[in-house]
Amino acid sequence: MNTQKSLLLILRNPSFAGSNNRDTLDIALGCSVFDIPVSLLFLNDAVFQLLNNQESQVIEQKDLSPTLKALDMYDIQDHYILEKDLQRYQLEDEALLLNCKTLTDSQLALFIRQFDIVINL
Amino acid sequence: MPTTTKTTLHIINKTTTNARLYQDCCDSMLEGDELLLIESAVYAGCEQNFHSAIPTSFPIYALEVDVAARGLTDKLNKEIQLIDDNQFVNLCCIHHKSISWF
Repeated sequence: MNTQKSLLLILRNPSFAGSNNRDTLDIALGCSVFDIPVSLLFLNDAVFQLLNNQESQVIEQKDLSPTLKALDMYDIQDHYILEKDLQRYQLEDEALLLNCKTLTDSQLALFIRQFDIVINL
Repeated sequence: MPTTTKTTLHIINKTTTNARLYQDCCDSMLEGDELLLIESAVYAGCEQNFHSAIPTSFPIYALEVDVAARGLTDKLNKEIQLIDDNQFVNLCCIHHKSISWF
């Protein structure tokens, strides 16, 4: 019998705005060590986290791109973004750091419902 | 002293997801005032509906380093002027006061 619970982590913050996104990724990596299946949803301003060419050194901070690129190694490959957020910020043609599946507005609620646990920092 | 010379530099540091913040800030602007976007606020320059997200016709500036750090250098709306730290200080000096919308 499979008692494994499925986990969704929701990121909502842009780059360099607090430690919530980094904490969320730490949870993701931790779960993967215990073979808990994790999906990531980059909601709203969090899509900016996925932009290439972030030059965090000019403001003497660290961006999350190295961690994001390492997710694949931890078998965390289910990443989701909303089509609406890409349109709002005109990022439709942008090459993002992660290979994300796109959800429409109407799919969001059903998508969230299918998970056993949702962490939304 | 006439109030027209007492202009204000308005500074925002949050994204347009905080819509009320932008509305309140822009409602508080008068002739001669200017708006500066710093930190997360520079993302506002990517808004598809730029004018409804930042409802003002006054000059809008963004801090160059914050734009570069976020990988937005060639994505910002052309109405936004990029400035460096020295120009930031200059803006603070030429206005009578600055107001932070944080």
